[in-house]
Amino acid sequence: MKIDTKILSEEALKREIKINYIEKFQRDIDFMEFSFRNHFEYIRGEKSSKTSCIASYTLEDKAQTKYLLTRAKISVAKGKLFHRSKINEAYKFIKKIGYPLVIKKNDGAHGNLVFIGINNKKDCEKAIDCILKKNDYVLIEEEFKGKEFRFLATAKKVLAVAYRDPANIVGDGIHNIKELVKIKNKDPMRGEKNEKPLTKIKIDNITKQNLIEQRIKLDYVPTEGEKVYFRKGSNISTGGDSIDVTDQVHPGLKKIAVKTVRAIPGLAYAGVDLMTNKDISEKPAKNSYIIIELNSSPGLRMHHFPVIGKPRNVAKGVIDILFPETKGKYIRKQKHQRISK
Amino acid sequence: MVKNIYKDIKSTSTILLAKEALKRGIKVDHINYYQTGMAFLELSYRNHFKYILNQKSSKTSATASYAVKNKALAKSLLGRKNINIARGKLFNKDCDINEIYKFVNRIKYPIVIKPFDGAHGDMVFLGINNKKDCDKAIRKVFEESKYILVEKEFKGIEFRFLVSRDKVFAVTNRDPANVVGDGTYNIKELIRIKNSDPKRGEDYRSSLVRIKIDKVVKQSLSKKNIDVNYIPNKGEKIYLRKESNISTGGDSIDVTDQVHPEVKMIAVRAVKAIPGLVYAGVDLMTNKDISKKPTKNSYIILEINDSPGIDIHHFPFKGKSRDVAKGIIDILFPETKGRCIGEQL
Repeated sequence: MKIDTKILSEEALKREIKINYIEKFQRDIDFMEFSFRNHFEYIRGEKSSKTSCIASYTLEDKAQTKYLLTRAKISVAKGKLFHRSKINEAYKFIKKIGYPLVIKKNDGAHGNLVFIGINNKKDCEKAIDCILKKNDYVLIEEEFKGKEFRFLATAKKVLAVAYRDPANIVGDGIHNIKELVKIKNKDPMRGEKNEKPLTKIKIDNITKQNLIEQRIKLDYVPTEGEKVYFRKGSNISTGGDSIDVTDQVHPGLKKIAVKTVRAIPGLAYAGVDLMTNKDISEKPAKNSYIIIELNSSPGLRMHHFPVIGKPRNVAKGVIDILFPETKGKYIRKQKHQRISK
Repeated sequence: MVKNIYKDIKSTSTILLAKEALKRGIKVDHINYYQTGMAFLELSYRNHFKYILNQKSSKTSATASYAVKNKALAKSLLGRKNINIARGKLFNKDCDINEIYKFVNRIKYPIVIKPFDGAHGDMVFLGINNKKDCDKAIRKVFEESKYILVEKEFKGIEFRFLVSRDKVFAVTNRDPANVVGDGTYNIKELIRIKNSDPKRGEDYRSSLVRIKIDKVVKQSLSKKNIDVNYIPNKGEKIYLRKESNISTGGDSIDVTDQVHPEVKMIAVRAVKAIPGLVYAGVDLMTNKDISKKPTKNSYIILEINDSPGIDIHHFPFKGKSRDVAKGIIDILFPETKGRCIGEQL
């Protein structure tokens, strides 16, 4: 079972909410029925029945999401969507906004087919061709330089904020990269996929590519304290670390994250990826941040088990939304119902 | 202003909903990013907001939408409420193919093979009668999907029910793409004549769709040992496809008044079996006359669609027109029920 689902289930069981598995064959879907007396709610992954289907579809369409955010006066990266039949216009647009660019496919999430830091026409053509191979639309955006944070927000408040550091190791002057990865992966908190709070670093093609770009090899021995990154994407599922920063975040930014959730009709809670070029504790200005994307099925583990910083019980906030009548009503005997699948 | 609203909506179903809303003084705003061409509307009445995206409403939950898309999950949810579904089993991509055949031997041909998710019936293989076709279907579906659903084929007539959690708004018999002979014209000409009906459009956005002579049509004719040059006798009906989708040229025939009340109840129960579903298109197949009382083995629920086209009920090929948009707007804005400001549309 995914740890995120487990976290939610455990919080539910603490409040005497019953859990019932409906689909048992498809091991990867985790579709569950939660019930408290006569009140039923459903969970699929981290998505709940409180979120409308329209919200969920909207978030899969990046251009549409940006349109709704702009409508609510929330800053997003300047950009435009182009159909494959109008690629000439795309190049005209690129001339107008200039490099560096971000080029991505319009639907889907999790950083699939996202090309960042594009600086020249050749890379640009390559990225567009790659996307158009399987998609009809390509989204072209001005690159915003800054640091990305993940806010877990409801339509009322922010439950937690995490900084996700891409998969990395820190040198000790003795071990080489390969050994340091092995040592880091020994941590019992790291699992193969998403069954544990963190995920093991895998030395795959992307890792190797990133090392080549840095002109280092796997047998390189980093000096003490030297940090080597393996990936650009900061997903926890590719070995990234999470650092809780909830208390440092300026209230103005938290307000923006809540406004973002509210801008999408029917969204109960979401993971909001916000990028800022200012310190996170400073008051945001119109041009100091952008919203990158929203996720209606946000990971919870990064907030519950940060590598650095305070753990945040975001499952509590989610269950409060699903079953407000159970707010604060914990039963003494915990985990009387075993969760198994 | 009104014109503006319809300008970018290509789906007739969505236009019908927008018209019904405007009639009651509900404000309709376009909130879609125009390029992608979907129809995303914000409806508001005083401080009450609702959203419509491709006939889906914001009242339907994300989990309901997921549940009906995942056919295997939908079947679990229906089975749990004792609603009949086709006997079948789900298989994983890395399973042993012999396991599938063991199951097929148990349920016996004819069988149906389809992916566990996805709509529009393009990857659904019906009427599989032998191992060769079975192999082919398994291979094809696994190319697209990590699970396949193998089901015993249920023989009967398929009906589309447009249903809420309380009642049935309309029932349509969808007849697969066909032509009826007049003893003079050949199939090709009969198709051309049928396609000249202004109600028939190019694609799924219209209430009826033109019949295209494609590979599937040619294949189904050659199975009957005829081709498009064949001249059917007067009154002879030639089916051109197996599946009854309107989007591939099928005909819609309204039968709402003929349906037995207990069959209607089954359709309502099917919607209620999917938590968070507000209204849906329910595909029901029956081997009994639809006006007769159903028995335990006389029907199955084939599929539930959370984004049902309503135009097929408003503009049937044959039969009475049903105002489904009215029923849906009643659900979304119950406070406007019966209200009509008589705005000129």
